[in-house]
Amino acid sequence: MSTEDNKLPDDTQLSSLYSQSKDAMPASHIDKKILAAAKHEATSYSLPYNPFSNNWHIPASLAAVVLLSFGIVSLLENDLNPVDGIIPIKEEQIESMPEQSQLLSDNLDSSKQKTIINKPVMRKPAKLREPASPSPKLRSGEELAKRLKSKQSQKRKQKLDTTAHAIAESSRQDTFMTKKSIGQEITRSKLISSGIDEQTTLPYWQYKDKGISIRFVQRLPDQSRGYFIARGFSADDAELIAQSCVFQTIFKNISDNNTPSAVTYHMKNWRVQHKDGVGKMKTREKWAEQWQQSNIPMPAKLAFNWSLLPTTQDYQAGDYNWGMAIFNLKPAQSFSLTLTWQQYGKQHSATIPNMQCAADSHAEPEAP
Amino acid sequence: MTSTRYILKHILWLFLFCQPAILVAVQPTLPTIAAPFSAYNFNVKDIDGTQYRLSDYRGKVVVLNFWATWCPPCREEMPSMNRAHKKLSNDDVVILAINVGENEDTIFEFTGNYPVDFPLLMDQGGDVIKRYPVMGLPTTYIISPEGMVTHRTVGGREWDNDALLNELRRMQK
Repeated sequence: MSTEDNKLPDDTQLSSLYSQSKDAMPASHIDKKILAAAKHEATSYSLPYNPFSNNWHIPASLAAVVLLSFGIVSLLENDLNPVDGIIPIKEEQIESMPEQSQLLSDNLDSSKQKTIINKPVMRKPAKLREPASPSPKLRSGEELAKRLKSKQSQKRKQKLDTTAHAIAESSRQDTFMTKKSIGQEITRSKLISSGIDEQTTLPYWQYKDKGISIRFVQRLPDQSRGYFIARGFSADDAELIAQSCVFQTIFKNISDNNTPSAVTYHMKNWRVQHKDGVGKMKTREKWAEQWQQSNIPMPAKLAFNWSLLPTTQDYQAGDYNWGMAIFNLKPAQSFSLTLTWQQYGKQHSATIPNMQCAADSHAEPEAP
Repeated sequence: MTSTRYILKHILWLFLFCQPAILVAVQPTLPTIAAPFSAYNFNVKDIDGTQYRLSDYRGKVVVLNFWATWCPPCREEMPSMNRAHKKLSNDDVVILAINVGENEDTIFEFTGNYPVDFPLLMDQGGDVIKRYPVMGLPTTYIISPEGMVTHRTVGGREWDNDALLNELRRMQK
């Protein structure tokens, strides 16, 4: 075909041609043949009856809704688990865990009226604040103090950044072992994280797996001094605690609503590995022995007891505790912590390596 | 356009149909105690010196909370507990919070930042808390109208959650 043949008539020509042929009709025999051929084609290609063939919207809608509902429920479950995802633990689930069942029944035996001495919770350390820029109206002494505070804060921030970088590096290189059952070990990685806690701006180490989350956040010796003196301890006794490597612990049972399972642990089974050997954490019972030799007021003793992470505890789904964990190590000492716990009817253990006690650094004025 | 409307119509209907199932799936409930036990009948004062006995609340559901001002999760759940107290004002459900080891002044100062309308009781010597199997603060027990401890929560909760309130209401006689 030439280029000339491909040229189409313009609109005017088309209109003219169309108006000339508007009354033209095909011959009736041709028209009948065309209709017959069309009917034949339509009949030969008809599909067998399918209830969804003309109404695919219903299954598509159903699939979309199921997907959407599943997504929403999953999201809500994730949001609710730490605090609100409380589901009753069925008796048979507890019975499947002998140690836990024993612990719970012991606890609930009111006839024994045991003296419960395990304790939790602690004060949230204050956030670090960036000092405001010095006002020109400040008197010279105040101005100097503010500048000094600013410099100290900057130095501390730099130090924290360095620490955060170091622990992030060490975390990347580690893999962790979890005992699923006796004789069976599964290597797990990415269960441990570390970094800087958002609230305290201090380093933390965390183990998080299906059903359990435990975070250890450094506490500065100064924080412990202040906290325990405010609770009624003498400066000497507060110093003793402050120098013993205190961490703030947040322990959560995060088992989901579909598979709720209690977590039970006994701190006496946890191991602290450091350069001088393997030790145990200093539990409230050990501290109580020590306090017998000191003249500590009862409210202070109570506050101390309840401020520590319980020596043993069972958490139902949705339960959680804050509490201090005391490692009985020197400030700035490095160590690894091996945790053990029971959940889903099995004994688990995990080691968090390269943890570090907070250093006992005191801010000193710089030479001008 | 018509088919899009048709699809949207079906999605909306089915979504509405699924709503109850979704809500039921995420409803929080209170953890039950495997072996309910008889609640210790304490007799303590609140910060104003008023005497409170647990046995005075026989026939009502009692939400018994152990707490301290220095305990972050305790502080966190206190406002929701106060809202729950208001929502339950027409029900036979009472909330009692027992402070562990602190004095009137400390608790009074706390109420300046956290206004509380239900009784704040004092257990300065720790005599009451040792009669309950508390392992950590906050711990809250639910005591049935018959005086049996039937549920326990460790850690804070949103106490004014409707599902949780309805569960408490269902425990009434």
